[in-house]
Amino acid sequence: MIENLLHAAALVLTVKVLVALFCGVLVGYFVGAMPGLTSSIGMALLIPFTFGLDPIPAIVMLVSIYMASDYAGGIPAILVNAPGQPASAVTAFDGFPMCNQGKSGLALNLAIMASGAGALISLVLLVISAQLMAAAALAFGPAEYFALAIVGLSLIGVLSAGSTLKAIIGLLFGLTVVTIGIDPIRGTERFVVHPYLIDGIPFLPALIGLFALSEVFVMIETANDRIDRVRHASSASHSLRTLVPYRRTVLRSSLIGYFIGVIPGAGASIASLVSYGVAKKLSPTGASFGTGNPEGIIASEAANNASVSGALAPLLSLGIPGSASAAVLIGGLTIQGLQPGPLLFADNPEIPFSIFIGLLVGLPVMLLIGLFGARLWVQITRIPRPVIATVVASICMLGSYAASNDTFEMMVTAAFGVIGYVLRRCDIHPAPIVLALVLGEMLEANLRRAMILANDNFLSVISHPITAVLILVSILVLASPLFGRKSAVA
Amino acid sequence: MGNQDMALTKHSKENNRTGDPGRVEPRLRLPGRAVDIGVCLALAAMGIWFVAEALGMPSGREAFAPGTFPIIAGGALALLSLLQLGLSVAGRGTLPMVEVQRPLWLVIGMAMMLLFPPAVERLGYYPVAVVWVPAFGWIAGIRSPLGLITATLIVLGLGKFVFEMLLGTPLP
Repeated sequence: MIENLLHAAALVLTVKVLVALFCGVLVGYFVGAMPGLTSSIGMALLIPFTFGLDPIPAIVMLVSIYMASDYAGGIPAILVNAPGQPASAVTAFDGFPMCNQGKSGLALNLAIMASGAGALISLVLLVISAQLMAAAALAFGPAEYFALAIVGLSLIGVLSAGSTLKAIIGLLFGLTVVTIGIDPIRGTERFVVHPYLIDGIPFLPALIGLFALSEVFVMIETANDRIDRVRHASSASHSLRTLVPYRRTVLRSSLIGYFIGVIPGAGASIASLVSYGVAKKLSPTGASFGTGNPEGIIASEAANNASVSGALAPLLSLGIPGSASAAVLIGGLTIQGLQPGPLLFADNPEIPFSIFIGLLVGLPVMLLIGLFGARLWVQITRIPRPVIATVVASICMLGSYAASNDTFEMMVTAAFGVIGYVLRRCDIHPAPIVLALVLGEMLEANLRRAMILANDNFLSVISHPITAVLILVSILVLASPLFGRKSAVA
Repeated sequence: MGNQDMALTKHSKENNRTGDPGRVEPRLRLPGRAVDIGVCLALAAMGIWFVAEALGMPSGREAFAPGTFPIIAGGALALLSLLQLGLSVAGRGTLPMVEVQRPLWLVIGMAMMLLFPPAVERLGYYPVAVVWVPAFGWIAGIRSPLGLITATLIVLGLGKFVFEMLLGTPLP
């Protein structure tokens, strides 16, 4: 492992990769600080810019956006009560009251330092666990991968925001759409109503449409909404000791964030909410949570940043994205000709290890930009939404065209943008759809391979010990809302 | 649901929270149930179409033919969409009103996005972008000429310097 880390360090510490990392951090801070733009949107929009790059700078750039946007989301949450990222909403519970009490500098310092600590602790866990998971997964066959995809999809369905039934409908929509094109085993054409569809629905344009373009339509709608502007934002205080009295909360929240991040579909929002709830329960000052308690900010920020590394663990080791942003990262890896999963560690170890080193090198960059540039980043909220909407819409079109120099890809983006917007208004969110687009082919191809190996005996497929356990887990996960409802009634 | 729910309603200046004082824009208020039913019907129809098409696919000797997975996924999509439709019709669950702000601009914006690719294919990227970007900017809510010019220059610059020169993507 040490050898791989040293080799990756040599690859990352080059001018090209460091420039990519810095650009990624800047874009990440921009999308993180801008309410309405999320890390997944930022990454989806930047993937086309990575086409011309080598794999390592491209992936380091995308991971930096993911990380930095979670750092930056807390800044507008504290200063203007407008979370830049959904997960930062919990930070605003105590951050904004602290700002109103004239302690915005301290609040920003705590948020940024807790983010950094959460990221560092979770990075250590990621380096250890991803390799162990990948080593275990090398023994997996098609049956186990099929079951793994089932677990991932069931968790995503149940843990996604809003109605469980609608999240599952979103998943099924994605699974249905992914069957368009050539079938993965026999090469039969399926639903190819137009020659362009022979390779299926192109993933990147669909992704850009569902995440970014549908958000553009939301921005058109809300163009007249007033966003509170920051008037008296002080800079973050630069003391590094502010976290010392809260070290237990930092450690606990980082662990919570990491392990929730590992669960597909759970994501940063659930991580920060759970961590906040636990901190409130265990803290001697729990009663003052919500009124400007520094521990509330720390619990939220440490957990939501730790969840980023958590989401990367199943992505790198198993090929299962832990969050919507991780699903976008799969798109970035695939475009570079890389397939996430256990073989990534065996065939291209420089990629996962460069991600680890990139996260480590990016950490001080993000902290410095956060601590010294908080006032600057919050000014981003001054950029009028209509201007953002217009530029983002144009990047959506340019980016999807660049995927294969074909206007058909633009058409896919436009169509999925409209579909994504309409489904959103019906409370069917894009994240489960995108995750189904990622996992759909893995699910079908592995099930069919497993069936062929088992001479078409489905019982034999699901009676593999690991497969049986995983299928049982997914049944329990899918049934869990029923238990929850019964106990709630009782 | 009363007729007023479907009506285009004009809100007071206070409620509209407009960024531009004096501008009052209409909003479309739709019953959540109607939206749910419409979307579920469309998804159910899509699922049924996939199942019907998949049933006509050639099946080989194996139990899991090319059409089997689409039948399962499409069938489940149709089934659960119809279940959700049933729940919506029966009035189960909370279904708040769906309020669409600036509905006319939104529909025009969507149409412009859908028309952009064929226009680029026929006329080329730059001639289309010079007209399309300021028009889309206006629809998105930019009202100052400086804002429109800035947005257009940013988009043209991105196309030329980043995509064409830096990334080597020849634009049509």
